[in-house]
Amino acid sequence: MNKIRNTIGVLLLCLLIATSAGSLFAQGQSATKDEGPITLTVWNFKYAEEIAGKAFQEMDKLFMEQNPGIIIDHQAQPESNYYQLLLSAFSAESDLDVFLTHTDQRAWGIAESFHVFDDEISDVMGNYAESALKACSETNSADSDIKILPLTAQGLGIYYNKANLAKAGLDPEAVPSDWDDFLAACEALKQAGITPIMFGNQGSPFGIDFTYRVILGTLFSGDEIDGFADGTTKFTSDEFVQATGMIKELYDRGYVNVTNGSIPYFMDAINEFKNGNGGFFPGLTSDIAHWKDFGEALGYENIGYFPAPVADNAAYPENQVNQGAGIGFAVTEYSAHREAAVKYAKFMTSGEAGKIFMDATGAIVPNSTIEVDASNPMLSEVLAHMNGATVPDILNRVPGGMIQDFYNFMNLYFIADEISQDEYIKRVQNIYESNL
Amino acid sequence: MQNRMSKKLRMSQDAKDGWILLAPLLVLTIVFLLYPVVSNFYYSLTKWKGLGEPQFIGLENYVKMFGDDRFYSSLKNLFVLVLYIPLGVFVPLLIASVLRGGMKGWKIYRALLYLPNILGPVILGTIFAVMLSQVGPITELLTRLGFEHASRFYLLGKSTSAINTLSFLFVVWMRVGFGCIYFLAAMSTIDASLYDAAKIDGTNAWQDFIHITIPGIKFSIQFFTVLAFIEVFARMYGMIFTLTGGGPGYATYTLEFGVYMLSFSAYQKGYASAWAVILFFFCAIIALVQIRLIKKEELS
Amino acid sequence: MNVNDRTTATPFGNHHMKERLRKRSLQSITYLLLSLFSLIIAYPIYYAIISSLKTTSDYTADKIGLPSSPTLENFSRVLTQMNMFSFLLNTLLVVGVSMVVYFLVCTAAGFAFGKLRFKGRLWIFTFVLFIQIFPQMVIAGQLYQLISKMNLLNTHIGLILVWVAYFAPFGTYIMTTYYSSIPKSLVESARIDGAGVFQQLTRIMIPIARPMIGTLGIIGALAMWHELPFSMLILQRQELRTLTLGIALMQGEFGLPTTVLTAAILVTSGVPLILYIIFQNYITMGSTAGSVKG
Repeated sequence: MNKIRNTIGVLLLCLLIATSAGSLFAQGQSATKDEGPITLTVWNFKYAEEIAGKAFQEMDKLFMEQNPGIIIDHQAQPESNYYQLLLSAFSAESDLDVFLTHTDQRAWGIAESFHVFDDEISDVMGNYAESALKACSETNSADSDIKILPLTAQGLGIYYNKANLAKAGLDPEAVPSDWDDFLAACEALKQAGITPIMFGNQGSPFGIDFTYRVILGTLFSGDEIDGFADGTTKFTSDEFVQATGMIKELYDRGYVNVTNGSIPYFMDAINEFKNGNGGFFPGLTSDIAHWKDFGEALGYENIGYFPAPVADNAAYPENQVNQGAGIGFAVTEYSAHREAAVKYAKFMTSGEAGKIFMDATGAIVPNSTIEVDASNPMLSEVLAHMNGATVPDILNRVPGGMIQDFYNFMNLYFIADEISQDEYIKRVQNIYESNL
Repeated sequence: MQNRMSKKLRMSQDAKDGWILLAPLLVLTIVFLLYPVVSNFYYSLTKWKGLGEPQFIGLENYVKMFGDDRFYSSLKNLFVLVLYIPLGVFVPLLIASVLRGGMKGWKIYRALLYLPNILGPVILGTIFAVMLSQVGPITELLTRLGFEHASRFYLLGKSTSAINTLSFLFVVWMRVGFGCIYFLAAMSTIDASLYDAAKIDGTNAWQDFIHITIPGIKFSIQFFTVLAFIEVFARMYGMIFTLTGGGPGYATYTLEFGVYMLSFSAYQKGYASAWAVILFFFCAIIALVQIRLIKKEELS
Repeated sequence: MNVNDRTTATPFGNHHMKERLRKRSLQSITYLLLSLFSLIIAYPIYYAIISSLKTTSDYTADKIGLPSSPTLENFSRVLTQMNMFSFLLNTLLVVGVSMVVYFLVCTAAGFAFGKLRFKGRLWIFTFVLFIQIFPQMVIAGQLYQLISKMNLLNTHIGLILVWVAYFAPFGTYIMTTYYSSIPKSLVESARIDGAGVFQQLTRIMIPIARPMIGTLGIIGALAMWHELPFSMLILQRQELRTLTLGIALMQGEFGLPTTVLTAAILVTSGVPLILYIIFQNYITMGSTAGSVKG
């Protein structure tokens, strides 16, 4: 009996030692070596996604072929806690060289640990779109304090299903972007039994969120939107109140498919729209719920687009919400392999690699070294707007900490309908102020 | 004389052995638990992002906290959660006492009841978010049955129903499996002859329950209740995050969730630490109650 | 005539029959409760299963019915997109080793608190109980710094140490209760023989603890299996990650369609479910539930 116990004990001890040895070895793989290949540790919250992940793998392969001395160690990270992980990594200066990041306040809040690219990109700066560089600069300048290299130019807009509009008796070639036209179209769709606006609000109310952003883009100037970063522009402003009222009107009139429980998850809503249900969908210009996503599902000739529903008194009716840059690659300020890391970041956001990403995901990569498929009319149209009169995205400017609470209150006001509009505006302003 | 000496020897021998045996646990808890918990006190007096240097600001965080809507909503929600605890203790108690008498189909029920513990709060939060969503199966079912405004039945979308649903799921339903097994084990230590004697006296099942079962496992009931408090104050993050994200509004916010959001979403670690300190005091009270209970049991 | 058959006449009728009625109504209420609670878990699982077998158009068309053309595409997507198998192995490894350490630590400490008597025992016990209450988020930040400084980041060992530190206090409490209830005589004989601590550990304490292996095992293993915050912070590399992190990773920026999400849930819960079905008889905590007729 004793012998058995002792043997088990010894075996367990060995297992413990083996595990630790194994773990140390695993860690060792990414440890720096002076001779031999350099390993870059890359974090990416899109690496586990179906389409984007494959694209990144291809891009990495290409990079490693062209740079035999560098190995890319690409790690997927959960998006829901991404910035928590980054914050922790930065504060402990953990082993991390390159990472994907958004260009909103979640990133700028911890940007002191981002490496500044200015010198290293002086030769290729002209290739990046100016608006993209500005979005990636801590001081919003096109030529300094650039801490992120842009991978996508993200914007928002309203897509519509032309066939469904025709079914409702509307002219599919007329663009119903005027607010009154938009409401009339919704009414016609509703009468025809087609869901007017496909909102995906379950979980995070992206439907309401996106609509806010595009409407506000036509009511505020670029500077005013920028004013959301430091409290200058308030949520109690007339424009925000007006936008709130406009969205509420959509709900009140029943245009936002509230009957029979059809407010689905965002991803489910996308699928429903792609299956031919619904008239309008507030979507993006890159990544998902965009021209390529819907175009491939419904046929490019069947999809229409306009930047925003424009109210009569909108000060900037032409504005297209353009984040400048949606996501991009950044390098840690303490990276032990800075040169290689910067090289990689530049590679991934331009040229061949950029093209792979663009072709795979339909994301607009704002770099002139990437050939754009000029034959696709949808893409051209979206690009025309993105390169025209643009305005920044409000959600890129507000303090990152307020977003979840803001979403929760959108739910409380629009969906649960438990507070008055005044109360709602007041609360949102409170959340905003407490996070400044 | 010899007895006293050997007792003293035994005591010091006990002490030596005791410390050796306790060493691993103490080292682990002091290093990995004590230091982080205590550091919150320090950081609560600072303005700190979690990155860079903390800036000392005295009691400003506390002032901010006592003026913060979220804080009061959290306290209110904790209160609602706590109100469900009696139910969460009574239901498994009732079920266990009936099961003690043997019951048909017990094996199947046991398997199903313990399933929530097997799946865990994160998966359960995710799946219930799907189930109870406004387009979920419940709503669909109601619609098919002819309810016109079935979509109004959005449990997680309205403030009151959200916190009550969360409370019911977490405090009552998730604890039933573990509770039944725990109480059954406790009840098996009750002297069976007590029940036989009662039968002769002609008492009924309910009286047995009140006068024999409950006093017989009094300590277990008290301890289970304390466990429930710990779960409510300090183990809800996984379920809240996946089920409602704290919303709608602040309807499902708790102190624990607030600490997370403020630390990692708002980059306000200093302010979050102030919340953690308040949470600390609640936990301290729970711990003291727990210790009191154990001491009483030890002495009896 | 059996003593138990004696009925007592009361003003309210035959006592014995009333007793039976009351017992039966108590049983019915219990059956009702049990059925309700079982339904609350059974239906979601059923729903997850049928949803995971549907294509997205199938799901959009009919949310609650059976899949019209069942497909395994969601499962294959989950299994290929994420290396679930490696996650599973990692989870088994880390939970397995942690449980061994956990068991040793809890048994040793439980014995010290439960059977030995020495100065400061109650104070230390108080401390241990106290320190285990705090939520993970309160200590996550500083814990990460510690682990990082100790160079245990991205190691299974680091996670194992943290898990044992966090979960052992409760396990210690369970073992303490258990050991206190054991007659002292069992231990005394060995000590009088002059056995050293480690001999006592292996020869007495562990064998005596055998009935508790099930209890401790279930409570500790489940807690560790489902643990998310620490695993996410400490294990930052795919090859080290556990199953519970799998779903979080898959969700990406905007989440997953319900069909894929349910498939992912089923895949990650698959193993614990199977283990549970096999070992469910051991989850009785030493009681003889259901077999006591009374």
